[in-house]
Amino acid sequence: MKNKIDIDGQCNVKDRLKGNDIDLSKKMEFFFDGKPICAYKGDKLASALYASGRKVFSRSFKYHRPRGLLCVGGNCPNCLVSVNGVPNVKACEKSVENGMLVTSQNTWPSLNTDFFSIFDKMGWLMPVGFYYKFFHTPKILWTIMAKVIRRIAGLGSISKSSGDQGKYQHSNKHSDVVVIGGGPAGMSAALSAAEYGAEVTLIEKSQYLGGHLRFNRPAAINEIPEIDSRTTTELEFFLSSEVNKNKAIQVMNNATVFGNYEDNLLGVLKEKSFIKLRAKTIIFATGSHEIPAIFKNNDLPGIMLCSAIQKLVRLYGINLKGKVVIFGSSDLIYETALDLNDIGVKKLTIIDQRKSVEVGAELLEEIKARKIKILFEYTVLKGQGGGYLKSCIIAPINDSSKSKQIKCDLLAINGGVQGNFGLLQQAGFKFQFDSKIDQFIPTGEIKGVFHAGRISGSQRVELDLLLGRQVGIEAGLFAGCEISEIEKKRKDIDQLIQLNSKTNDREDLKVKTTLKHSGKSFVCYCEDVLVKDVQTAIHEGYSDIETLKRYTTVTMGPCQGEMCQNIFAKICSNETNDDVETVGLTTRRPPLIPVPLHAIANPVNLVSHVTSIDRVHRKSNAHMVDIGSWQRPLHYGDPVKEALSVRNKVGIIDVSTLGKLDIQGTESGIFLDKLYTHRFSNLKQGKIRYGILCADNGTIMDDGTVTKFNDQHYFVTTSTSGIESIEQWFKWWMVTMKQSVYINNVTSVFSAINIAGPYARHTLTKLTDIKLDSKNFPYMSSIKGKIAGIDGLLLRVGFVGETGWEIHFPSEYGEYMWGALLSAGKEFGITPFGVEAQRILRLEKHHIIPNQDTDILSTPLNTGAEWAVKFDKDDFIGKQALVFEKNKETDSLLVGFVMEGQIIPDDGDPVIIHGKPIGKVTSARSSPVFGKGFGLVWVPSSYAKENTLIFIRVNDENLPARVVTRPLYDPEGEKLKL
Amino acid sequence: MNPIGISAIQEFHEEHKAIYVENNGWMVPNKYPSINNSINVIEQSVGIHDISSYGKIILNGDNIVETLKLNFKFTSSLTEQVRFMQSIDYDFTLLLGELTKNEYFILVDRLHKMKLMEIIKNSSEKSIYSVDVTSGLTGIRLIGPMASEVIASVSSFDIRKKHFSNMSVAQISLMEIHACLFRIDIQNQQCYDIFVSRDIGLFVWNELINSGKNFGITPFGVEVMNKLT
Repeated sequence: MKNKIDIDGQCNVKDRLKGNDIDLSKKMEFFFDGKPICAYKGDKLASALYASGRKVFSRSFKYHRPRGLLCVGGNCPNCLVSVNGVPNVKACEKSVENGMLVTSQNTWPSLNTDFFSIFDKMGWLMPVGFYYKFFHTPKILWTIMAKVIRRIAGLGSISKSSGDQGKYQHSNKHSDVVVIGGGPAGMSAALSAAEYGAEVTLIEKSQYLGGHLRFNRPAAINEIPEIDSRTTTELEFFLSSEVNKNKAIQVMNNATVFGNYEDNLLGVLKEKSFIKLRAKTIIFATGSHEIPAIFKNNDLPGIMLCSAIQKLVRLYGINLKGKVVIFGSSDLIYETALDLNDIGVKKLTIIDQRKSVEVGAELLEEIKARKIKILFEYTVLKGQGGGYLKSCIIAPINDSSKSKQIKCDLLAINGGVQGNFGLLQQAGFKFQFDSKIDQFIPTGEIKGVFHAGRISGSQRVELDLLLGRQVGIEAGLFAGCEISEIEKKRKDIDQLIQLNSKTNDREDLKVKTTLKHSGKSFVCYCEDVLVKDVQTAIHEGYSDIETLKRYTTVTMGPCQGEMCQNIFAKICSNETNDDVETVGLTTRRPPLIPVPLHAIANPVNLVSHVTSIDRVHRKSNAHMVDIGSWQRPLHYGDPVKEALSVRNKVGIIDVSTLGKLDIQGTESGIFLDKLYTHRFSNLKQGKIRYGILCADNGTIMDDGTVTKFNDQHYFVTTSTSGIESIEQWFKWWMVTMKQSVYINNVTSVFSAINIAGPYARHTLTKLTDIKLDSKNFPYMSSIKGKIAGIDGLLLRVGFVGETGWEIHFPSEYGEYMWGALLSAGKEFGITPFGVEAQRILRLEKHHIIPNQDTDILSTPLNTGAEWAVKFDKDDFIGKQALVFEKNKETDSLLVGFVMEGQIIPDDGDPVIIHGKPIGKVTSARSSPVFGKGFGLVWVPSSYAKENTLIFIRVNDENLPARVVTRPLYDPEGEKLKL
Repeated sequence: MNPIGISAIQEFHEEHKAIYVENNGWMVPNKYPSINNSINVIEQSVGIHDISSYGKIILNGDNIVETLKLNFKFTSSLTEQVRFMQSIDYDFTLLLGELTKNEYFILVDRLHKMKLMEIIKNSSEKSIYSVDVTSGLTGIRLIGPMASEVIASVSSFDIRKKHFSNMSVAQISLMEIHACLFRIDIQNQQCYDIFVSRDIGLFVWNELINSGKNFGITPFGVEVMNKLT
């Protein structure tokens, strides 16, 4: 690959005309398949390549047929290329940048000589529904062939070294009125809404406002009040300058709306930005686009839409030459002929399917004056040529026997127009087929959503403007603008619309022909689907448009139906004898255009919560683990050593992640009595009680402690992962019960450290004046005071089964407090311990962890916590279910077990009796104190007796274990009370 | 060793070699020598400042405003969502934001937080309840003409002036995270104070810095803040 090219020899300004979008004084350079290409500033890749003489731009999906420029409007797949490693870029939309590396895709060995074009001769091997019909027996065949087919067919492939891996900027925007489409209707709507005070965002997918006015042949327009122009060119300039200077209108150029979601949320891609745009009201002025005509070989390079020719000439100054045939059944073919004639193309033939009386009189007069040849009621039967168009076969529309050949270098075609209705479909609009304009148009009304212009069926610029103005007023009104004399304004504009609509009435444009489409007449350029494929599929029984779509893959390619929806519906209509409206349209879902996944992916959804001591843990080389949404230290290197340190000396663990709720109000005690199975209203000030929260069906939701500060103030702790749902649960009941209770989540307000072990008191005494002896500070009580100079709260609890305290203190002192405790406990051999050691220690005490040891059927009764249920309370959540359970025999119980051998089961291993699973292990560890495997297990109640032999299946072996009903460590809880 | 409070953003401050000052028991960055944090940069684009050390109190209950009026007088318009209140007996001002009918958020200088709590406790006669959430919320201030653009890049909240004018407060979703957002303009500069849970404070700060790069976001310390006010 050359790094530098000499473009001076290639570029010749004389080869180009003056185009609206290009600057012939500024040369640019890029590479296509390794060859240097000259361009001018403002050129698109497609225009520069076409100007350089390139006719073939890509190879088709299935048959690898050569494809050239067709629409030059971003609607077809014919100019897809790879740019700097990014596949499937539309060359007609991508502006040239110096040094771009552009390559063709889906070809081998080269674009001009593609080996796989052999498939063009083997179409008989690939009938419609090919994927459903071949390579399915034996089954393995498909797994092999799928890879082969994917290699041969398809589009470009993503380069791992692609430079397009950078981040997209995400942003949110709000607007009173969003107008999609910067053509005459869109600009008129934006100006109208802004005039009445609305904040307007106008989205235009190209770089410039103006829409079709920018490339269509300039024409005079009827006078419209307040529009200061006489021709379409003047109008374009007038409207775009009015829009650009209006401060209430924000124009987003080069931006594409790819999805219209609930509540007027629009997904917008603008270069490297992904914008979530929320609108009070939306105006769709998305316009329409030209579609191809159907005949044999209608995909040959050299066959191009009329509007594509207009764009190449008027926007990019392409100097078209040679013999040109122009074919279609609308006045656009005459305008195109005049445009070509204007730049010096003399050898022009117009093939019009209509009768002469149906052509606009002024146009016809001018065409005749220039002596351009016209053949009325003729059609094109076939395009001819190898890799490029050389001639076409034409014939009278009802007599193919009188066909004749016309040599040509370019065939301009017009198969009608199709509205850009994808976003309207997503908004919920239904469509009806208007045979007068041969187009689907939206029907019905949706609150706060409007449409105007060509998408609404307008065929004239004057009507575009008036419809735009009309919806601009309505949208402004919907957005809350105050508009005086609204009824008068509505009436005035209705009158103008009616006046201009009259001239819009046309004879039925549907040309009736008895000719049949033969050979490769393409309906779908993206997926290489032929007219006969659709016909075959219908005869095979796929007559519904949606199933037909899935079977034939029409409308499922990169263009998503932009080029084929109308034709597809019409062919289906012809074959089924249903009218086109009954056949209908296929559904277009977001995204309308291919959107890179990394444009949407948002890393902020992966947020982890960290405690105020997190940095210290990491500096201590803690092995961190995700628990709920939090990151916690699993261990600091040796969890067994950490557990033994707690049993024999003293340990500290960061328990800041415990959920914490501050409950205040005159009815706090009654409220907690209602939510918990235990009773708290009678708790003495400063005391703590364990509590279980049950759902209505009596199953355990969460557990924790409740500390009473005073009659109107309680402090609740929950599990780490349960806080968010429990906070919601509390608040839901607070509203439901209408009690004077106020709930605040203070999880992050207080950091918490649990200090436990025989030397916990010794350590803590060094840091506080609070008397910590059991007489002054008994088990399950709390005292507020200074700890290490900080105002804090001590809770004497014992989750790990040792004398210990939870120290709750303001989070800004997390690192300080951790350091202070380590310093104070150094002489006692203090050790930080992580979640793994905590799990071992609590398991030795048979302390359960909700959702680890419990499941959706676990209740306080079958987990051995009946003591925490006060059936004598008036009512509490889950009471009825628990009363019912109490009065019947329990199926399963959660009990402890100890392994007879040395092997330790895994959490979840099954309990096996007589070859059948009867229960499962919920937690299992090796006890550092007892040197045996042990844990908690669900077993049938008949097995829940001390010393009962059970078998736990570990690695395909049934290993013996004994049931234990009391905690392994300190079963009487004496150490907790020391 | 005297206890000294640090915010959740301390790691950022350390990485950027902040020079600190002590503010009533908190260590707060006075300036970042390695960052061009002149006032001009902030006035032209957007500055970001750690205000976690501010006293933050949630009030719940009935007749909160009436109760506060016993000891405070309003020094800004009564019609606004956020109001300045001046203590009648002491020399301090607080900022009162209405979150819901029975829930208010108070911002107060840390020095006067305890006095305020005492005043509330003594005057409320059990009708209003206070929770000091200073330690649980990371406070981040965005100031400058591009401040709203930075917030819009990470929140779906409609931050347009007519929807969120000066002296407003809202509870919003910021990066899918619950946040309290105040707008209290300073010296005619757009100024937004964001409060999020401390445990994701550093994450939010870093994401705002990341999102604000395109708008020229610049961290600044107390020294510049004092000049701005």
